[in-house]
Amino acid sequence: MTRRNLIIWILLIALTTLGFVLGEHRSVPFTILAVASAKGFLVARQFMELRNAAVVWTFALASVFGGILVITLVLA
Amino acid sequence: MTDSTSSSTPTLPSEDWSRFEPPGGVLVWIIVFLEIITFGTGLGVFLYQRGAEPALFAQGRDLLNQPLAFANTLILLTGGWFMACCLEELRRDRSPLAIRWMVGAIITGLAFLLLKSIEYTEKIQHGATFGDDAFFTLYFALTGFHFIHVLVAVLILAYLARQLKRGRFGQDRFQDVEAGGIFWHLCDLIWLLLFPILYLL
Repeated sequence: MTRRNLIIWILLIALTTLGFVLGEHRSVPFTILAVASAKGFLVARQFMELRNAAVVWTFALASVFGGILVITLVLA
Repeated sequence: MTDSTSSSTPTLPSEDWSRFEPPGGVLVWIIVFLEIITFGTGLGVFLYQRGAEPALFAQGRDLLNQPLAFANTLILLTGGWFMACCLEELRRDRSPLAIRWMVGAIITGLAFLLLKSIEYTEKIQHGATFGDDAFFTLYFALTGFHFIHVLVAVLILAYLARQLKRGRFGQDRFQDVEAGGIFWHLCDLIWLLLFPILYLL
């Protein structure tokens, strides 16, 4: 177990808790979706190890994942 | 034949490929992109319907069990961490430890499926079923499709754990484990879209 993965997990748990609290307080969609995008980025770059691959993969995934969140923001 | 202009010799295709190729290989990433686009389309339909029937969707959202979905998010992310640790140990040629982390990931997957089943039972007992209205039809369709993904991911990891125990993978041979891990994390990514959009907005 590396320290890096442990820190990423702690960050993900903290962001999930933040997102949940924001949702319970009916916060604006932007902040809830911003938290979701940060979590997606951490999972993709660290746990899925896209940090070790060509940056085009991160860019492509961020475009698709981020695109869905932007469409959500427009429709929500 | 000796190449006198070795400094300008182009890089071998295999060398280029090793730098370009994502973890687990390209094929599993094609699945990742297709799945995210599929779920994104489903969520687009959900949001479009939400705009058409705001009162129904607000009522439906209030009937969902947010604390249970929150707990499930924590469980999936913990499973993702376990899987990342599994691959680290495998790269260090510590298969016994890798198996332990993988079994941990399988347990988190089963816990997710159990909590999701409790949530479905709760909904059905309250009379909310697939086909009832637009909200619950889309809720059951999207989360049910994700449920199947987690179930498949658990089966993949169980198979990989068995192969790992038999010594089929090691420090130099672990791309299949990487690919299984990518599919596992895909379940996280999809849930990271479903959780805020269905339960929190």
